[in-house]
Amino acid sequence: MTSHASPAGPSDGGSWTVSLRDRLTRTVPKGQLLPDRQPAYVKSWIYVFGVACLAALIYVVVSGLVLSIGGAAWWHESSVGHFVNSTHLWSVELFFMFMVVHLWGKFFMAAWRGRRALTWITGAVCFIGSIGAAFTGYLSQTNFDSQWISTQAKDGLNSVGIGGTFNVLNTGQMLLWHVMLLPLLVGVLVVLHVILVRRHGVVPPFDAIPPGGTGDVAGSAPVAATAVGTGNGSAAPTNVGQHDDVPVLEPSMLGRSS
Amino acid sequence: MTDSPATFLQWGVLQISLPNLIVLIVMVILFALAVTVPFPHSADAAPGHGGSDDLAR
Repeated sequence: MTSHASPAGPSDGGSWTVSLRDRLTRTVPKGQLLPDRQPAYVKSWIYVFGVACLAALIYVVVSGLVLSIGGAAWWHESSVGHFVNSTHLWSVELFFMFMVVHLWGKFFMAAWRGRRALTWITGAVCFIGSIGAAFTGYLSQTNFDSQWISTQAKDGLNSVGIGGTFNVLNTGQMLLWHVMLLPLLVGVLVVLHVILVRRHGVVPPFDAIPPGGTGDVAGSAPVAATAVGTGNGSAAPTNVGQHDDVPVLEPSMLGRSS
Repeated sequence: MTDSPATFLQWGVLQISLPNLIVLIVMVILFALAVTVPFPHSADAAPGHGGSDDLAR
């Protein structure tokens, strides 16, 4: 296969592969998708919870796939099924715990600053979708607990007029929402969320100083702070993280190339 | 144990089960620790002296 070195810009119409490639490159510039270096202020435990949340979600999906092999009632009749079901439950518990700590951290950082509103929104909607996925999981236990929960939930959903469409007494419907629709929604939102984080970078601290500037960067264009240039005797604001590194903004660490 | 109902605590209109309250308190403690506990620096990083070494790996 021969590779032609002609630069393909947006004007090179006619090829959807070129257009798609350009679009992807614009969305997440090369080197930003899976970076091996981060700004100094990312060295904080608060970011560990975002990654732990992703790890828990991966295990939730994997254990859910295993459970789908044996079926919804597998865990009632098999010790292996019971074990897998338990790990599925507890990984969900951890997923929510990590997600809430991540949410609290991002809230107090005002992580929507610098054109990161969509990152915040996708995370928040993902949180809501996850609650729906968890509730339909309770309805898929095929035991008296799920029966009780469904009879309680139907009144609430009927009161807002969606009980006829989203019938919590319909076990088959709830199971399919739990294993297909809601995981798909959460999965797509998580992917979008991570892509947006990679595109815009992690929100800089409140007191980060842009190159040549002294003001607050809240609401500014997406930039990421590094400690580059801290040895030049410039003013050293306090980092919101746990480091003494001075979060001076560095254009080369922009979330995108331009 | 799993068949016995949880202990519930009531404070005015607020009602919460003891297990849920424990989980909530643990989450708050986790958050406080995440904000206050220093993150270990890697051995090859020399923070505060400029250059690319100040980027977290």
